[in-house]
Amino acid sequence: MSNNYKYIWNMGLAFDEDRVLKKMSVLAKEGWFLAEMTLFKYRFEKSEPKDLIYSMDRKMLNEDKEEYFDLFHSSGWNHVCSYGHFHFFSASNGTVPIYTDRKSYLEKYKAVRTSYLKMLIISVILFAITLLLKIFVSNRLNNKAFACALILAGGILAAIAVPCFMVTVAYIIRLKKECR
Amino acid sequence: MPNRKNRNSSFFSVAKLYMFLKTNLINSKIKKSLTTFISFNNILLNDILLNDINEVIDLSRGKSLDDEILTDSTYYILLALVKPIHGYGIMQKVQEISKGEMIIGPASLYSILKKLQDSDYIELLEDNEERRKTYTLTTKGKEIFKKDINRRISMVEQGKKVLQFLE
Repeated sequence: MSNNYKYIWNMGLAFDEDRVLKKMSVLAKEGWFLAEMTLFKYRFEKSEPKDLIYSMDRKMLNEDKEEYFDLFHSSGWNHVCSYGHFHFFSASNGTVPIYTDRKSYLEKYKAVRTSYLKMLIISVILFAITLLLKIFVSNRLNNKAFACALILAGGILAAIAVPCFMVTVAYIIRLKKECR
Repeated sequence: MPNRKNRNSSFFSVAKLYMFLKTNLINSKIKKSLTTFISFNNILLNDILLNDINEVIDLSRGKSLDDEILTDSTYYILLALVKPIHGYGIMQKVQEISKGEMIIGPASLYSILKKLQDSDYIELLEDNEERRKTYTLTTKGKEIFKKDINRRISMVEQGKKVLQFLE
């Protein structure tokens, strides 16, 4: 069974989107095809080698899912898999790129940046609130359970804020590079 | 850009919080680590505010899409939308009208269609029996489109006048 699957670590699309898409294309030539994306890994399945290119789009899809995938399918892009708002597509080499104008291409990254930035700001503010509670309230109350709860909440918030911060910075740098 | 106000206010709340902590914190170690963290954030927020200013300069012609000059892709999509048409039809029609000079990718098309819908330039046709969604121009969309066609015509006319001097 282990020969039929291959895994690659998911290092975060914010950091290595281009590299991972190129890698998928190289693997397709060797007969490994992207089957699934998870939080930590990409899973590939063995089949006949093909010359494919891969693209990723990020869109929040509501009831118009069908139309979205239909547009891609009609222009030669096959939907491979989705993970949350990330959608992967493959097509034969030479297919028209999924983004053909700069403006909507940049908006893809602006939208991700904004959503992560919002999450970052909210988690930082909540973290600051728990910190203030810990310093000014919990220390005076001398209540162990309350203190533990605050430390736990602070830890969770920090665990959210730090990756959000890294992702936001990665997208800001990317947008800066693209706009140059 | 409805988000700027929010970003500004959150920026100020971080700044306020920082001032509060600065005056009240006794534990200097926490203070030091917080200072570096928050100043890090300030750089980030300044960056975003700068980005916004750039976007404002970008859109100095007008605040909303209403006054914005249509991009070439949007222009061709509207050309295809003269008669009610579904998404995939637009792609084929654009390629046909432009004789292959303008090709629109699916992600671009989807994003532009969504934006045109949000700005009320186009709408979904209600009574269609087809499986695919059919779009049509609104009165507002027609007005804007007419204006843009005329703008492009006058640009071409001006270009024609100088063309002989370039040969």
